[in-house]
Amino acid sequence: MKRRSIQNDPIGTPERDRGAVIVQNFALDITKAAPVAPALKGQPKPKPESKK
Amino acid sequence: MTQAFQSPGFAALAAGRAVETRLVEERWQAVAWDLGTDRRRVVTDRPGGVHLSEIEPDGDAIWWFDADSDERGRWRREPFAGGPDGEALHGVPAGRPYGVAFDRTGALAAVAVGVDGASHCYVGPPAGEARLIGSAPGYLSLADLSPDGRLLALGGRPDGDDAVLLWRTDGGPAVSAAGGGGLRLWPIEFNPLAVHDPELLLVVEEEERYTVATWRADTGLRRYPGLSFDAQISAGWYRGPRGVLIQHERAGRSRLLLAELDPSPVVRELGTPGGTIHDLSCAPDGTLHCVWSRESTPPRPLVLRPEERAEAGTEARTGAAVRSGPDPDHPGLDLDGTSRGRRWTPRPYGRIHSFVSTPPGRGPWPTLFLVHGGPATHDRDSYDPRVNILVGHGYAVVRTNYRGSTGYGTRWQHEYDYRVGLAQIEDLAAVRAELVADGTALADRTGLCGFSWGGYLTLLAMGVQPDLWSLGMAAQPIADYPATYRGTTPALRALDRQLFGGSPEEVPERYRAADPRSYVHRVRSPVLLVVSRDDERCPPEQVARYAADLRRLAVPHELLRVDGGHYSRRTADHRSVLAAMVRFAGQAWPTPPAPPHRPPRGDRPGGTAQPMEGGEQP
Repeated sequence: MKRRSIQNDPIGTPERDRGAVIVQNFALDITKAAPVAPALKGQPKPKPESKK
Repeated sequence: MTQAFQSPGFAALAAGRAVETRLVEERWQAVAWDLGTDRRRVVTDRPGGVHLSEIEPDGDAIWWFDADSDERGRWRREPFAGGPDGEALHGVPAGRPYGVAFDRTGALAAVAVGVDGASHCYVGPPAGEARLIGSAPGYLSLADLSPDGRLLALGGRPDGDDAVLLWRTDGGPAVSAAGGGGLRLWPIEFNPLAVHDPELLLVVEEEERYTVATWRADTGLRRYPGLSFDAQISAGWYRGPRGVLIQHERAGRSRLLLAELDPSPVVRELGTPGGTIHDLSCAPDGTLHCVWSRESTPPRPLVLRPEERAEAGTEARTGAAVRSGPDPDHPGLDLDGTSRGRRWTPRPYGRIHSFVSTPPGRGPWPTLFLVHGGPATHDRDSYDPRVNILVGHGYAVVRTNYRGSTGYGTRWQHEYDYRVGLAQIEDLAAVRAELVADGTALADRTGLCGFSWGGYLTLLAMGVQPDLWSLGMAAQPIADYPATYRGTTPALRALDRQLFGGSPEEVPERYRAADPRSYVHRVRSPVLLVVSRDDERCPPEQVARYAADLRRLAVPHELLRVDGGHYSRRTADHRSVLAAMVRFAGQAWPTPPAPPHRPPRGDRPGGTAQPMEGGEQP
């Protein structure tokens, strides 16, 4: 399956776009972020993130 | 892109090899990732960064698009284990990247590039000579190359005659599927297991629904009514000859569903936390690698193993709401006291959805509308560092999904009678009125802040609704619509013709009504303009003319020139623009009611305020 980032589809067509939110342009290295767990059925609401 | 966080790209035939686009010294670069040893090797060191990377199916080499700040460039290639890099396909001219694809083994590659207002598609062996297969005026995106390397799928305007083009690489006759008459089509990808009889996956939009479909030469277009949704979807083949993964975007949240196309679609929703899937890809073992965030949580990896964790999913009817995660209708409270809520503003034509973030304590607050661009995108339950920074400086921040936004069905996206810009700022005004009335927003301190098409709406509103907005900040905006149309890219000209129902020559009155320069004489509150020197999407000259208008009219304003093109790939560029906005807003509204708190690391605007070029201080 193709990566979303190189797709042209109803959700997004980068070449036909003036100004999608560019969150990655702030110094956030997502590959160093802690992974998030998938939600399980009946799982309680997640707690707010701890900001250390 | 529409939001560009990238998940890894995996080599389909080499399970241990992948490519990432990773932040290296504040620039995004291509990185080779050996999953067996978990070692990573930084492949590129481009001064402007890299935002597109791929890996050959056999894992032999990494590809990346080597672009200038004007977004033009060439694909380059380097062995996965290291070695000299070179052109990925020889003989392809420098241009805008309109797509890349490989056949099943990687023996043949295809690229599409935009050059001088036309699209050109080439094929060839990696590192070998490319052959031109076809050209067409305007913008065509390369969706895929069939597993046998004999058929190319390209997408044009979804409602046009060129919605889906199938070009044979041996020069044989082409096949096309046209949109129009309320039908829109997007080609997605070929079935990787249909090696000798290519089968293309598509999304069809008709009668206000988005439906999964397939195309084969013998059967033509086949829709799957059981896989029909009320808001935007994408899809991809997933594990097995009939498996499909669907991403559904609705009202600011994402969900993922697995389906078997035949004999009749059975749908299973994957359990994902409430929020947004920014990007996703599938490893050869079926593991899904997503980049996920929500308003209060910065982006992070989300790894799903649907086959191992089938119990995690919930059977779902199409169109059902995501049940996991916080209740979207009830405001949440971050540990730093930031309150985040949703608001639905009723109007005769529907309800306007907004995300509202407020500082600790009680309002009313000076309020900034952070206006999204596109317009074919929407604000989501996703992390946006700009919101945190602005809330940290004492502002309430409102993100409104005005008419024209995706994620709320086709009518919300398309039906506003070609009143481009005007319909959208009416929606912003309606939300503003509600926030003032309920004590959230200070009536004399509501402003607009937008990037690109969001910057366009900002400038338009400052002139059309001067009594409502006491501050406007527009980065890389459209300030003169007809001039932007003439100077922009083929894809955006096609978008504008779609938005307006024609070109400036065909429907001049619509462009005039939508043009910020038509109302510049009515602007009276401070305006910050940010332009990028190499911006082909929203050229800087037309913004400079708007700034000259403001100067002539003695409207307080400032013109800031930056580098990096429309989408800079350097984090420092974005931090400096946001720092300028924070400073400008502080000067326009000089007594912030609350002392700023320090936002989390990584969110802080960099450096002190820099002297700005041109214009007067507000």
